[in-house]
Amino acid sequence: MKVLIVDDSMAMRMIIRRSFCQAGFEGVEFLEAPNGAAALGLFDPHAVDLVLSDWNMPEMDGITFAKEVRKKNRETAGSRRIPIIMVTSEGGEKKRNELLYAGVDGYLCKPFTPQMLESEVNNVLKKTEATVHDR
Amino acid sequence: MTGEITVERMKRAITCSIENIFRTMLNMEIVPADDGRATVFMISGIVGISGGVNGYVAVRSSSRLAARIASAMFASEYDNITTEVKDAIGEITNMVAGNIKSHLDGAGDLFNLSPPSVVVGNHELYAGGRGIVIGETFIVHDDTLGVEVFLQLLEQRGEGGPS
Repeated sequence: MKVLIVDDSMAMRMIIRRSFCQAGFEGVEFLEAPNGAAALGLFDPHAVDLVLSDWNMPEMDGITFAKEVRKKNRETAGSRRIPIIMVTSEGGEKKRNELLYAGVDGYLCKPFTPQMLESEVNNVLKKTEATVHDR
Repeated sequence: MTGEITVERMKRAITCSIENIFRTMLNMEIVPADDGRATVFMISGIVGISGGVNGYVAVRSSSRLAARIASAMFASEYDNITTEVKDAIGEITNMVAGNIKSHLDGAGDLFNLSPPSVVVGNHELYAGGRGIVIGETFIVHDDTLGVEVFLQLLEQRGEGGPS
């Protein structure tokens, strides 16, 4: 599985990578970008299986990035709909609705344990009919 | 209650947020300090607050505790202030500020949060303008962690203020 991590915090990118390993995901390759604009340059719907993105970032925030990804999906015939999980420290119903409206599939609230990450990744991938890994 | 930020409500939000972050993400035990100890903080993470309410959220610690926090966060050993340690403190501050905002329910919608900045070395925090500083201290492995929230009095901006 190829996972694109989009976050301006090096610390959070390390935490997410480590959490995938601690949760038992095997064979995961990580691509990383410090903001939405850089991530769009890396994003290829044929080469990425999952995106985890921070919300508040310089240059292009997570919501704008998610909308751009969905736009690319619509404009490219036959492209896969890549699941996006937003990682944020701010919770609440209003925020969740804003994410759903932007085309985000899942939501991970900081702080999170590896088990919380595993649960949300599995939920999102099941929803988009992808296989995570066998346990 | 929505829309009103009281000192007690903010103190509860600070305590709930810091305890949740340290226990969930760092697996470090943290308890409120009750002895009013004076501490020299050598590193502070600061997140700005702007919008309906202006101010900042700061997470402050000694160099030793900051290194311990980074060690727990990254599962690596740090014994002085490195780039990774600064990043760890910045991220902790970011999480604390976001969690405080969530804990305030609708009142948290009053403000936006900036990306974190980190100050290292001998320093003190001084907030310009009239306002209220709400601070809590915690004990982590015999070290002291400080969290403070400064809110500018809205009366200075021609409106009512936090109570």
